[in-house]
Amino acid sequence: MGRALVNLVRKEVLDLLRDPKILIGMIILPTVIYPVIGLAMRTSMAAAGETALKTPVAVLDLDGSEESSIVVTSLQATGRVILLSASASEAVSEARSAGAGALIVIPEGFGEALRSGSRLPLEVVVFFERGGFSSVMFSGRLQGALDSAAKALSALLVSRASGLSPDVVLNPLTATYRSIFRGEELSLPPDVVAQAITGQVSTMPLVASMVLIFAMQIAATSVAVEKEEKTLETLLTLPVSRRNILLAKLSGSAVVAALGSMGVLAGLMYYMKMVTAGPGEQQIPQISLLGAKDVVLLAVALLVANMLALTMATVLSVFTEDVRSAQALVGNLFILVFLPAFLVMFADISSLPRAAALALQAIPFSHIALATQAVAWRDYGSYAVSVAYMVVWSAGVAALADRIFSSEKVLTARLRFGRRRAIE
Amino acid sequence: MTEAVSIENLWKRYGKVEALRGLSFSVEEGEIYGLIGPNGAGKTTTLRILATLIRPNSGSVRVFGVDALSEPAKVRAMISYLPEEAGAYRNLSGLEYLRFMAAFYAEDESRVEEMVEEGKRIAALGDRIRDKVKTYSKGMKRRLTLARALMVQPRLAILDEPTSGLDVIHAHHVRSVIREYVEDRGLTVILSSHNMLEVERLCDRVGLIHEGKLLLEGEPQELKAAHDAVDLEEVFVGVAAVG
Repeated sequence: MGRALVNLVRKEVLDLLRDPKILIGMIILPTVIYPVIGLAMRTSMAAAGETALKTPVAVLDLDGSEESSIVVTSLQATGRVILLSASASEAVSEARSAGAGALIVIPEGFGEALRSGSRLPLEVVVFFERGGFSSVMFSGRLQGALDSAAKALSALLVSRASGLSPDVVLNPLTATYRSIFRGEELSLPPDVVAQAITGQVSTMPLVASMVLIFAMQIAATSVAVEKEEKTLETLLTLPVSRRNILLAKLSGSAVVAALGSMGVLAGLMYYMKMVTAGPGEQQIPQISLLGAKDVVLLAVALLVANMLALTMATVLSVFTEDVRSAQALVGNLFILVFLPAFLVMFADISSLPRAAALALQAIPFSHIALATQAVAWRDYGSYAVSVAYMVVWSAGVAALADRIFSSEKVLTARLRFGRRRAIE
Repeated sequence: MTEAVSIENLWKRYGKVEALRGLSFSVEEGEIYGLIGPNGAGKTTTLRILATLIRPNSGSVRVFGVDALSEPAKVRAMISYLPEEAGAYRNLSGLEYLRFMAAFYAEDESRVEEMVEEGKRIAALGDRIRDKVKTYSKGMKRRLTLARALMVQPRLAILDEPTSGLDVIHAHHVRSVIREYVEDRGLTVILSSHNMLEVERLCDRVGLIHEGKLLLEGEPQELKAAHDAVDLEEVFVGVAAVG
């Protein structure tokens, strides 16, 4: 029987991978689309950033004080500055003709006002001559420069008013941080650890959900396409057990779904790298929250959840007549996969009302999210309960699938929506 | 002669519809038996039960002495079923499809290749056998699926409208192959057809079913003589009209 099963699995994989709808629509396109979007965003953002840096800021310094020169120096530190010598009334037209993105007029008496404990406002005129992201980045650059000018002026005023260090006055609190994660001390600031937890633990249920949904879509296709292409009747009369046919469907779908998932995840990782890693940005120290044992445990949980997803989608697709209706029917399950993943990502299940927590725990797909969290926090008891719950569900649905495949239901079962088929 | 098929008092209901109402008939080994009848008579239901796809509500079905209801796996090893609307995997080539099917019946690779060569001969698709099935016409697909059904040399071939969708030349080729398999290899065939000429020329015996019951059975010549008819079509129309 092993030979027949191998023959069936080979056919399943070949037939699925050669289907343009699956190969292009569900594997190649999702794999390529994220890197392409990431690359496009990175390229356009880099171009916008360059434009924002190159766009000069025109400054009309009518004060000429030490304080006004601090403002000019801060602006020069972030990009090109054109110093105007025009009158206040001509400054706007001169700045525009010089190609400046903004004009800053430092009024006469600016420094004197600060020294006497009051303020005179700067006049800031921004020219929106072009659309796109570069104007946003230019505004950000301008605001950043003004903020650093304000800090430099604060430091100057503090040093004049007291003999204290401006840095101490402006930043009176310093701290040394120690982060204790799962009982182990990490010599990293809490924001870095929190970022790693968010990245690695909280997003894992979402990644797992994507893998499950992918598997469901493929499994729904594998049975429905047999009905659509009128190959199921022949397949069911071959000298091969119905259990092997079911196993081949599940295995073939799992192989193709794994290929697709790997492609999509690789594409997503590349996308995230492209979008988050800006040029010259400070690198966040990498910490690994999951050890080899944790990864194995997660793989086991994902495998069990995957089997449940595959068998559930296969059973549902038996009740449809073509690929489109199978995918539409199986699509109704996606909410049961994504909802728990989102809930678990943003909320601790113990903080939910009792009824909501029980309802969430009753959904078998919640347990892939709960299992990943349990592994991350080394709560192996909860992990075992979650995996056991999914195993029970998988076994139940697999038994149902086996029963359906062993009966004529696999051929005759239909979810009817007010339409009856003629009987020959 | 050995009894290849024995169907007794077969009943099948789909909800309130009675598709078969006590159908009984038998087919001898090496015989070509034709099931004829109007649309909805129960021909396809009978063939599907015989092919172990569906189960009757009551009655018995034996294939070469094996109970098809209690031992369907044994029956599947002896039969080959060609559904009326049989498809083939569109993303495989014709050759890959034949090889995939042969692997279930052959004990080793050399036997697989023998079956595939035989399949190629029956399908008569020439070099197109290497093309993907999705590029085939309806007639080409029919020849491929029929080749699949016969190349594995089953003891019993169950053919639902075997020449449906074929042109005159290819239908003639298919009938010749069926006849050759019966005469040279001892194949037993049970087929359904709406083509009375085909049934008359090909079948050794014919069973006319109407509303799930067998109305008439016999050799084509015998039936024509008994009903004083020029051809089987006249017999069919006359008997079906009376019910």
